[in-house]
Amino acid sequence: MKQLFYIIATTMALCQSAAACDLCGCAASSQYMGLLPQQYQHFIGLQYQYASFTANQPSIFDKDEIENADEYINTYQVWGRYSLSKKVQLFAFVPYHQNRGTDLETPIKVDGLGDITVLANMTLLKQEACTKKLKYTLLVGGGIKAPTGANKGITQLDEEGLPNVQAGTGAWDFITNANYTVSHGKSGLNVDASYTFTTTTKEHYKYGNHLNSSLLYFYQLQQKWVTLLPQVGIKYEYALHDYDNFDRKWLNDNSGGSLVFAAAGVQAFCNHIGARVLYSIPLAQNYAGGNVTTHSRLETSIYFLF
Amino acid sequence: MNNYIKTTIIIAAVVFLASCQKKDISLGNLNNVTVQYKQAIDGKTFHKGDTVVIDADVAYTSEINGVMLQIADSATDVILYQDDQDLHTDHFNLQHEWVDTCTTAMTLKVIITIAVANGTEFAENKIHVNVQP
Repeated sequence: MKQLFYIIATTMALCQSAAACDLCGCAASSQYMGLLPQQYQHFIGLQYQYASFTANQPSIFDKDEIENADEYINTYQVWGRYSLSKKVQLFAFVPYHQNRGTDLETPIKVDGLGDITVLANMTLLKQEACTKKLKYTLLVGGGIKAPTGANKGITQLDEEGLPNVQAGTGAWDFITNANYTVSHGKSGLNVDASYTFTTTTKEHYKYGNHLNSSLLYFYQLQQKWVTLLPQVGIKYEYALHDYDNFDRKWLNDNSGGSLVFAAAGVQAFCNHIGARVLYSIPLAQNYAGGNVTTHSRLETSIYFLF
Repeated sequence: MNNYIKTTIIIAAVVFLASCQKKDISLGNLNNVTVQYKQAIDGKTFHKGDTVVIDADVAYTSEINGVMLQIADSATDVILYQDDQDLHTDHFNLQHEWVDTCTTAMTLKVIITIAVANGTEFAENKIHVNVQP
């Protein structure tokens, strides 16, 4: 019980836009930090995320003609946490994207540094003393995503309707998030929500603000030398419409939408090493007017705690 | 705890307000679509083997979502040439070339169709040219 709480004392999840696009919005890039150990103040890790989607966009002039795009997003990310104090923690994410696919039969190959995100979180509520009562932690915070990733502005592909499979979004984002973890015995729940306020690119394009939320149930399995945390739950994502030109309020009706995923995975901790695998399957989705289908996602990570 | 509730309410209010999305209200007014031909000239006659150049400036007071060019036989509506592309702009220079291969004399219509209002409304501009073998 006590061990469980120490392990799961801090949990948070957040999503960030990294490779959004006109049709796929933030569907291609969401990030979940998972359950983080509290007995160590800092960590640094490497994460791999895989996402893919298919876009079947009817031609403007001939609705029977379908413009197809298949895209595969591979993200390798260095991330870490630095605790400024008992209550304040800083997180940083440095992604590297490998995007592949075809867009209107044109091969897509994008490699490059993505947008770097920095977050600060504060522990607002924490109950950990009693062993027979519920234990909980509430974290709130926020941060920024800087446009450090390569972004070539409006390209030919953009003109054809898929503006961004680029490594960077070309815009600053502001993120706020809250996370509540409650546990009793070996079981626990984690509720998380984050909201991203986007800004415009140099070309006045603006990705829609988006909400990411999740509810996860986890259970502790304590072995001799390793702690396993199987987890299942759901994720919900919602994105507003993009603006093709925010200054002129050119709302892009063919963007934004919502997604619901079922997620299952496991985390393991062993001394200074942690690892995580999470697989998400879409249960329901209505994205870009139904023209975009998001497929399953995989996320793996390993980190060193100190 | 009151402070937490207040903070939550403030954040929720900001998120709610940020979720309101304004939209350009001039969308869908097709009278504001303009097409100015530099080439070809309305009524011009071409001969077999000539290159028919279409060069036109398309503009709109709001977003143009796409533009399509068609060259068709005026009598039968048979399409001899067609091309289209998606756009996200308020002005566009359309440039196309088509080599006249017609073996009979006919009048062709050159149609430029402009999609606006997120592709839900279409403006059409038409000129005619003559071809002779």
